[in-house]
Amino acid sequence: MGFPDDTAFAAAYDTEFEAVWLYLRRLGVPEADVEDAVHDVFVVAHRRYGTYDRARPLRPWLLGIAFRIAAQWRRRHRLEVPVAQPEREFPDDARAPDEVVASRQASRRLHAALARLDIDQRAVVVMHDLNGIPVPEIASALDVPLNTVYSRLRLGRAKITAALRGEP
Amino acid sequence: MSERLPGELPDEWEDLGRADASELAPPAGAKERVQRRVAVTLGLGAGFLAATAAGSSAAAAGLGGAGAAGGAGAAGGGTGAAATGLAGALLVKKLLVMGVVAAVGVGGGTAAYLEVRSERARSRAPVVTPPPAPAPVARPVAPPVPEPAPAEAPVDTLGEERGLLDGARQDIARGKLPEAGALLDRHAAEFPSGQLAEEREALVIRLLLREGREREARSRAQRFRQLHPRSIQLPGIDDALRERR
Repeated sequence: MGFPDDTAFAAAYDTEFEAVWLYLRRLGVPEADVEDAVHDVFVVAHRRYGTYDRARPLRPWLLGIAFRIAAQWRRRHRLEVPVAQPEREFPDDARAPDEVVASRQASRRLHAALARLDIDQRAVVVMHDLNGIPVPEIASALDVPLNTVYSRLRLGRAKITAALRGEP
Repeated sequence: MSERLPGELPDEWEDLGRADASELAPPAGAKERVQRRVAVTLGLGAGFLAATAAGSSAAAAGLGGAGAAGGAGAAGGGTGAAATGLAGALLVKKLLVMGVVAAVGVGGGTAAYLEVRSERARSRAPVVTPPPAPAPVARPVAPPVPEPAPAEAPVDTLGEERGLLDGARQDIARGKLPEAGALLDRHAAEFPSGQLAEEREALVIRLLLREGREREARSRAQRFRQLHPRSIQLPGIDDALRERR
């Protein structure tokens, strides 16, 4: 069962594209593969729409699908030697050079901290603490018990705090 | 922000999230490019493509609750995009026929037209250590894509299809041509009319070129063009054929 009509699907795509993109990137899908992954998320969403509980918000459901796609990506690539990501150029960047550097450093700092989390913890922490999604919605989107979400959140946050404080 | 019960995060967290959202924001044209691919895979028409053509990508994708999050470049999108909405939608319909997709600028509502190129040729990360290229093998490569995929393909196979094609693409990039061929053959056997059948055929053509089987590549490309005259894979196929010349 697909989306009821193309216009509704288009509206969902329009509103959620960037959130899905960012979520996948934060779960470790590199820029070179993220377009494929976003494509897959929306294709699956369209075909699975029949399983979507419309009483619930759309974004957590989509991010739940994105989590599964990201986990598949990681399984496929776990044996590979990581390749250095080329820095993206921002030819039209209107910011001052020091702002650009500071922003890039902040982003790296965040990802270094996220890298300490396993993917289950990362999925929860990013959804809750970067997307602002409440715990019950996360539990529903990931199809895990509420207490599991709380536990992953607690462990994940402890690791992030340690990383940001420079603790081992 | 919602409840913050189990453990606290350092104060800098929200600033880091905001900076990260702007660093990782999709590049110009990505939204339209992916949208077109989704439309091809699902067999959706202009109703899907035109409906969002004028939309801004100002979705709050960053920190929930922190209003300005994810907003790099999103400011001012609303009114400008609305004003150019109708014109944008009409142009998109026209340009899609020409294999070109329209991207409505987020900031000022100006329209930029981006050619749909081989998204992979440009964006793949470099390869670590390419092993020596093996000699071409006489291997029957998968038959050309049959006519359009059935509308209700099973949902759960997309990951499997993606895995096979992902592997094949990497093998081609690393010069592991027999391995790539084996994966493509497997995809063709298991998913003859799969959701990613067009992507498979584009990879087969690329592989044939790498194997030096240029005539076969060209005839398959020609057949592909007849079957899928508006495929998003065509620009990439053309690029590969041109490089060969």
